[in-house]
Amino acid sequence: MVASEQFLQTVTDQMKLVRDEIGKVIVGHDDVVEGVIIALVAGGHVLLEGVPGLGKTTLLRTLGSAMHLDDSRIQFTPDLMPADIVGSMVLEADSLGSKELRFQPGPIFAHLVLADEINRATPRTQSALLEAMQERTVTTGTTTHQLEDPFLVMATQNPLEMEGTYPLPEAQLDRFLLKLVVRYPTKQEMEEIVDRTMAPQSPVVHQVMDREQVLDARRGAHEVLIAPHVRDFAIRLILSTQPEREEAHASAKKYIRYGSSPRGAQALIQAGRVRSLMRGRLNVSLADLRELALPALRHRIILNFDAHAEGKTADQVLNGIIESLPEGTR
Amino acid sequence: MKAVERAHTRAVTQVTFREIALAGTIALLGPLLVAVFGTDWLPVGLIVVFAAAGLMAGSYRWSRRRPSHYGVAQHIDSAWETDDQISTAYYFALHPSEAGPLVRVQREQAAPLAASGDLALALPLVIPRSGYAFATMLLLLLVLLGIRYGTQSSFSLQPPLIPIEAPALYADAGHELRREDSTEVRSHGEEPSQSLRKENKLEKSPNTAEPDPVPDVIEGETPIGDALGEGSSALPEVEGLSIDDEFGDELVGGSGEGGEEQEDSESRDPSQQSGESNPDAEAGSTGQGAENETSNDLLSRLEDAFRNMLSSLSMDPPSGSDPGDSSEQQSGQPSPAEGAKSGQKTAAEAPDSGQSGTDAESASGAAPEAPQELTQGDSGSESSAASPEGSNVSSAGSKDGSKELSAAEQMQAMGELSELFQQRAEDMSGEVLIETEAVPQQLRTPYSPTAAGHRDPGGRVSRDEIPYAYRRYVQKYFETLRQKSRN
Repeated sequence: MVASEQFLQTVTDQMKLVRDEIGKVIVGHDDVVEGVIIALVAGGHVLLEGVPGLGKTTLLRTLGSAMHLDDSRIQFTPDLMPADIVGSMVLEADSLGSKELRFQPGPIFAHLVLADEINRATPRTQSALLEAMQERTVTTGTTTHQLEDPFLVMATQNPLEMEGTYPLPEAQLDRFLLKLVVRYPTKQEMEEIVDRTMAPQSPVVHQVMDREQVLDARRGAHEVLIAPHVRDFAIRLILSTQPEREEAHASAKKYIRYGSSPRGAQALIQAGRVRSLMRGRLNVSLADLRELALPALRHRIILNFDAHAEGKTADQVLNGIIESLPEGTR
Repeated sequence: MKAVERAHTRAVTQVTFREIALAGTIALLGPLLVAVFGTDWLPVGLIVVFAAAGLMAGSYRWSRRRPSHYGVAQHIDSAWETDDQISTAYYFALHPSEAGPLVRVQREQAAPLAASGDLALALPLVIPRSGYAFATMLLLLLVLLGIRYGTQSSFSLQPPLIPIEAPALYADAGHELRREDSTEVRSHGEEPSQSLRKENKLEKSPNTAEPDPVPDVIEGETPIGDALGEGSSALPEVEGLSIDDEFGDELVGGSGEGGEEQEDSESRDPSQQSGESNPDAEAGSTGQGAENETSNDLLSRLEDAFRNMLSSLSMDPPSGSDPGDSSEQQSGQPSPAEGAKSGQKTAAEAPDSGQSGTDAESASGAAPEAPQELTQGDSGSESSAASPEGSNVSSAGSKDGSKELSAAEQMQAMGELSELFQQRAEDMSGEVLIETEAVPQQLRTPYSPTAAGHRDPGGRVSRDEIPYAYRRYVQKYFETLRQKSRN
C-alpha cells in the first residue's frame, strides 16, 4: 500500500484537507499549522513560543477535531505536581464494599496534549512530562502504562513573563522536534479573525483524517527518499553549528557555545520527509531542509555571552549559517 | 535519465572548451614571447615548452573539473527548481539497492520534469573567460607577426622586435665605476683637501666629459654633502638641477675666481648663505674656481671663523694651522688685517647683498657652463675685496664665545645643584603625615561607566541588576568560580 502512487496522492490530499479544516478556524500562522502537522506525522513534539491569545489552544483543538484525536490541555503552574499530569492511584470502593487502588489516568493520556506555559511548572513536573514525551510510557507504582500513538505534546512558553518560571533545560529542549515561533497576525489576518469571531455561527470543523491514517502517513514518511547530497547538506549544517568543529561556520565559532546534537540532523531529515510528503513529493529536497532548519535547530543551539551581548538571536545565527552553506555537488 | 545524459554531455563539452581555451592561452605565451624578443634572444624550444605546459594544465584542470552525472543532475535540479527530484531519481536508478519501495513512484514523478526541462536554461552556452584570453593572445600574436612583416618584409622570428640601447647602459656603468675610483683614491691616506684638489684637477682637464658629482664621505670628516647643506639650500630653486650631479658640477667649475668669496660667505650665518650674496659674488661665481669644494669643508670653515675671531681681537692668526691649506692661504686667503679692512669695507654693502640672492643662485645654477680655466690665484684679490660683512662680525668669533662662557658657568652651577639634589634624593627616607579636618567625610567614588568582561571576578552584583536572560549564565559562572576556589 505504501509503495503506490495512490498512497502518495491520498496522504497528500488528506494533509491538504487537514490544513484546510484548520484554516477555517485559525487565520494565518501557516508555518505554525504546518509545523504542528509535521511534528504529529513525524512522531515528534513541538514547542510553541508566543504571547498568549494567538490561538495555540484553538489550534490544538481544531487539529484534534480534524483528525478525530483526543486532546487535552494542562495549564502548568508552580504548584502543579507530576501526578496531576500522569495520573494517580485512587482508592475505589466497589458495590460489595471492598476497596482497591485504581489508576486514574492524567491528562497526558491523550493523542494531543497542550502543555500550556510549560516553563511555569517546577523541574520535577516538567521532567515527568518530558519523560512521557520521550518514552511514551507512564509509570505509576509498579505499573507502566503505554501512551497511545499518535502522541503529540504541544508545549507553549511565554517569552515575556519570565519571572518565577523555570526555563527548560537544554537536554529537555532537545526532545522537541520543532520549536515554532507564533507571531502576531497581520492586519488582514486580524480583520479576518475579528469577522469570524463576530459571526453568529462558529465554523464547523469536519473530520478528514483518523488515527490510522495518521499512522499510515507516518510510515509512508519513513519511506521518502533522500539523496546523498541532501543528506550531506543536513549533516554539514549540523556540523557547522558546532563551534569546536573544523567545519564550523565563522558565526558559530563566534556566537554559539554548544551546537546542535545529532538529534538535530535526525529531526531535520525526519521533518523534511513529512514536508516533502505534504507537497506530494517522495524525495527530500534541499529546499525542505532550508525551510525546516530554523524550527528544527533554533532550540538546539546555545548561544554564548557574546551573542547575548550583541543581541544576536539563534535565528539570526542560523540564517547566516544556512545562507552561506554550499549545497555541494558530487 | 536521458535528460541527465544530454546535460552531462553538454556540461562536459563546455568544460572541455574552457580548458582548451586555457591551454591555448598558455601555449600562445611561448610564440608571443618569441615574436617579441626573437630567436636571437630566446630559444625556439620555448614555444614547445609553453605548448606542453598548456596541454598539461588543461588536461589536469579538465580531469578535475569534469562534472559527474550526479553533479549535473543536481545542477539542473537547481536550475529548473525541481526540488532535487531529478538528482534523487538518477542516484537511486544507479543504486537500486539503497532504494525503498517508493523509488519507482518517485522516478515516475521525476521523468516528466526531466523531459520538459530546457537544457539551455540549465546549462547556457557561455564563452568562458579563458576563451577571451585566448582570443586576445591570438590577436596579439597576429599583430606582432604583422609588425614583423611590415618592418622586415618577412616572418622571420630571428631578430628581436624591440631593440635595446645597450651602450647607454654601459655608459652609466662606466660612470659609476669612475665615481668609485675617485672615492678610493680619497680614502687612502691623503688629506681631504688634497684629495679634493686632486680630483678637481682631474675634473678640470678638458678630456673629462663629465665632472665628478658630489664627493663621497671622507673618512673621519664631515660628509661634504652635509657640509654643503647650508650652501646648497639655494640650489633647489635652480631648475633641473639635482644635488648629486649638477651641484657637484657647480662646485667643480664655478668656484675658480670666487673661491675666497665663497669661503667668506660661508662664514656668515646660514640665512645669509642661503639667500644673500655679494653682488660681486655673482661675477665670481660665474667665474667658477676649484677652491669651492675646499671652502665647503667644515674644517676650513671653522678655521675661517677662528681667523675672523682673531682678526676682530687684533691678534695674529695661528701660523701653519693646516699644512694642507698653507698654500691656499698664501694664494687666496687675505691676511687678517686685510680681512678686517675688507670686512669694514664691505659692511656698507651689506644691505644690498640680501637682494642679490637670487642672482647668486642663478649664477651658481649656471656654474657648469662657466669657463673652468680660471685659477685659484685669480680669485684671491677679487674675493678679498668683495668679502661680505659677516667676515669680521662672525657670530662664532666675537659674540657667541662670551655667551657660551656665561652659559657654561651657568650650566656648571646647575650641574652642581643637580648633583646635590641627586645625593639628597638617594638618602631620602621617612614618613609622611597628612592631617585632615575632623569632619565626617563621604568617601564616594564618582560614577563612571566602565565596561567589564564577564570573566572579571570579584564584583558583587545584585540579582535584580542582571537581566533575566543572562542570570543563568551568570549563576553558572559564579558556581564554576566557587568550585574552582574549593578545589
